[in-house]
Amino acid sequence: MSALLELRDLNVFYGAFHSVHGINITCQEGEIVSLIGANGAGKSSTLRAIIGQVPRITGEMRFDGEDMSKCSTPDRIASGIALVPEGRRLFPNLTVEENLMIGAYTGRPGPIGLKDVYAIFPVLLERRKQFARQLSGGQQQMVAIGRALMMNPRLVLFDEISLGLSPKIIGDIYEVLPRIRDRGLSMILVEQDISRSLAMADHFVCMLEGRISLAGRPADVTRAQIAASYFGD
Amino acid sequence: MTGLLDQIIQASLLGGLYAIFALGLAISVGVLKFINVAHGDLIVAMSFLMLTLTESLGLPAPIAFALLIPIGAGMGWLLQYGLFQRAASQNELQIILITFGLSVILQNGLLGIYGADTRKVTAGGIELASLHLFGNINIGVLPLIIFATACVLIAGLEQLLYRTGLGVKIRAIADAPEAARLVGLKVAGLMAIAMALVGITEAVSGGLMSIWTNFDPSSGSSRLLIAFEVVVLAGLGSFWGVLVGGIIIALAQTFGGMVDSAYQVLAGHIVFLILFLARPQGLFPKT
Amino acid sequence: MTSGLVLFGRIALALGLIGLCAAPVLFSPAMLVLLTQALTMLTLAMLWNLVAGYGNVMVIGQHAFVGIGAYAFYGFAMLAGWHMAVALSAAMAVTLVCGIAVYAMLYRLRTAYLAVGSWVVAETLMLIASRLPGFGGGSGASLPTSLLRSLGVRAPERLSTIYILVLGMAVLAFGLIWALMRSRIGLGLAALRDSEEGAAVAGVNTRLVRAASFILAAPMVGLVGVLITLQKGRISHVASFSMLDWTIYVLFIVVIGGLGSLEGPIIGTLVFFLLREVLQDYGTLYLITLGAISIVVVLFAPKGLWGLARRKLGCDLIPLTHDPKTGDLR
Ligand SMILES: Nc1ncnc2c1ncn2[C@@H]1O[C@H](COP(=O)(O)OP(=O)(O)OP(=O)(O)O)[C@@H](O)[C@H]1O
Ligand SMILES: [Mg+2]
Repeated sequence: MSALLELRDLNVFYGAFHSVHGINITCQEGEIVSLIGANGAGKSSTLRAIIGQVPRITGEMRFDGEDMSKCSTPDRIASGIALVPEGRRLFPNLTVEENLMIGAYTGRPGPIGLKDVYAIFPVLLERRKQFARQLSGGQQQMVAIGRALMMNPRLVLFDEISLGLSPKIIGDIYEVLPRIRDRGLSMILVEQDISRSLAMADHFVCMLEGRISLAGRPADVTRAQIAASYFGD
Repeated sequence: MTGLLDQIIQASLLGGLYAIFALGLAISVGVLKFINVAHGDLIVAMSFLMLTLTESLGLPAPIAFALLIPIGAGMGWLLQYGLFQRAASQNELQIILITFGLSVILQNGLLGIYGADTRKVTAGGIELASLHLFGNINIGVLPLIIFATACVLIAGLEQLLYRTGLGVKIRAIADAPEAARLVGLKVAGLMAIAMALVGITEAVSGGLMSIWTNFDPSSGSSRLLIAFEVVVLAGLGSFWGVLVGGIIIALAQTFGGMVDSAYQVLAGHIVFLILFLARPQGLFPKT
Repeated sequence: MTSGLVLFGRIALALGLIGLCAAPVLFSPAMLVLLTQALTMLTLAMLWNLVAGYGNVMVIGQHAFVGIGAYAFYGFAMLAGWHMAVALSAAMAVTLVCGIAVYAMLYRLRTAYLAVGSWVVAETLMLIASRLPGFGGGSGASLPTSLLRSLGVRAPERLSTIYILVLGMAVLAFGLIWALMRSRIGLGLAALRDSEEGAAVAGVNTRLVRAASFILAAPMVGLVGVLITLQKGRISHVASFSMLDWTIYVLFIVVIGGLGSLEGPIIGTLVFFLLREVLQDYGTLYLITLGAISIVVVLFAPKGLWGLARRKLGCDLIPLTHDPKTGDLR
């Protein structure tokens, strides 16, 4: 059986700027892959390339065995990829529930609905009629995750979900990830908080200046090796 | 005294027509984030189309009017896909310039086809019918129909935008277009649908206007300015506010006209400018 | 490093200027009238380009200031009986004040609103002008021959006097814009043209710079209004506040020539008058063509004809920026 997601020799360009240089990443069904790297390493660019939101790429992106590198974002989302974008990117003047419903409109048909999201994040049920802009940062992040889950994805891309949140809230949000994994979803986690992200991951990929500097299983490498490939010394 | 009351009632009904002029502009400002300078000319083009359908093809006015609506929707959709969408990557200034060019093309196209004469569509007597209210106050049936149409359109648009999935998607795009792309909304298609809605309001405006008032190929500019004033007075995102704004402008024009017929249009502009200075965010801003 | 083409372009510009200076002795009165019109449109185009192209203030009510200038001049010269030169300066002062007032009213609006808002203001002022007692009401008023005589006893002399005045005005407008663009404000405007947010981040006072471009243009547009009045010999709300003549044509000229460049309005004016000579007899088709060309230009060459040419040439014909290395004008 082929992998759920396979990036082969992926390059990302912003105009003349070459941001990601020929990387290979594989994510099997049900796996959590942790993507780490310093600021500007190209993590977000990689996720945006997977969802189809960078100006130009070369190379291959296979999802469930099918080459999707030429597909539009709506097509990719409809076939089961969801992004929890950096900075949450909610619709501030739509209500919580409307924000969540957007996910249902653009995603795949499937079992996950409002009820499930409210079961995972009960606070959103209380606030479902409020505008997204009225929520706290942590609650907004929950809406962003909920919106992605409403797409009934097979693969969820998380871009720095802990950014700007207090440790307590980060803990709450991270508790949710195993429950998502238990539903059989695969994940790619981009995170600054390396130890938390590696603790969850089956696999990790470390990027440095647009290239992969180290990859493997978290248990197989030492902290020193990771530090070296993270900072590039 | 009843004379004054009569004027106020007539003006309020005229406000209904102004509200319909403004609805399309309110959608394009709110969702598509640009002002279509050719909005008034598109309305006038619809009036001329109504003229052709009724006079040259001999269709009864109601049927001609019903035909206008899908035509308007198709026109809006095509304009968005064929023209405005192509400019979407450019800045607001350039999109205005495009609509400006469109406006000049439409005005002169109409002038070339229909000539400069003032026109009006006859609708088999309905424009003359009136209801007796009390005292010596009569209400024209046509103005009443127009006002009711405005209310129905506003209520319908509110329902569509706030109660349906399509509406949520359209509002999402209006709210955060970049985020909309990230979550896989088909932005171009949805914008074309929004513009088709605008086209419907233009068809309704043009159809009704052609029966109620005189028009000529250069009437578009004044309709655009009225629509603009109403939208700004209403405040962003408020559809019922558009009705109030329409009535305010119509009242101002009516009272100005009572002083001196030459002051009719001027009074509308001046009241707008004063209210705008007092409340730049509009009377009923939603956000 | 200037290529042959650039040199050619600069020589053409210089010859053009020399030709314009010598026009009163070189050309027939009919040609002189045409050149007067062309220079008038060029001046308006340069000024609108300053406001919209450099200042990012999208106004489509520039014709208001032409009208204000015309009416103020008439008021001072005819009703108050002031000397023409005094009346001219006073008219410019009036448009300056009006410019400040209008800007104070509209500056909060975002692009599209400001555009139509300025149009509403222009429409309002035009309607007011049509009701002003003493200014001929709806039918307008003529300047008496006694006043026009002071520009020259016979018609051809008057033509060349007015032509020289208009040429002076065009040169003045160009010089002012050139100097402005090379000043600190100009640096801000250039930054603004490239990216509004970028300019704000870089510490440019974008509000001030935009206001400056708008307010400085107003008295110059008023001056154009005065000279248009002298050309036509009369004022009327329809002609003096003509949106078609003083805004729509001007927009087309700048858009087709190239928004946000010094060369754009010049090229646009040339194209505009060429098209006019060719298509004038076709009436509505002329305007339809202009509208269509401007749409195509905005879509496919947003920087206009000059933008296309500049890509070939690689540098401006009229040097504006300093070379960071040598400090010479590029
Ligand atoms: N829209 C863009 N246009 C041009 N360059 C971009 C754009 N987005 C990202 N880049 C560049 O691509 C490189 C990788 O950026 P990216 O956002 O992918 O990094 P990242 O690993 O997510 O960093 P961070 O941890 O700061 O989020 C950077 O050098 C960045 O400047
Ligand atoms: Mg990032």
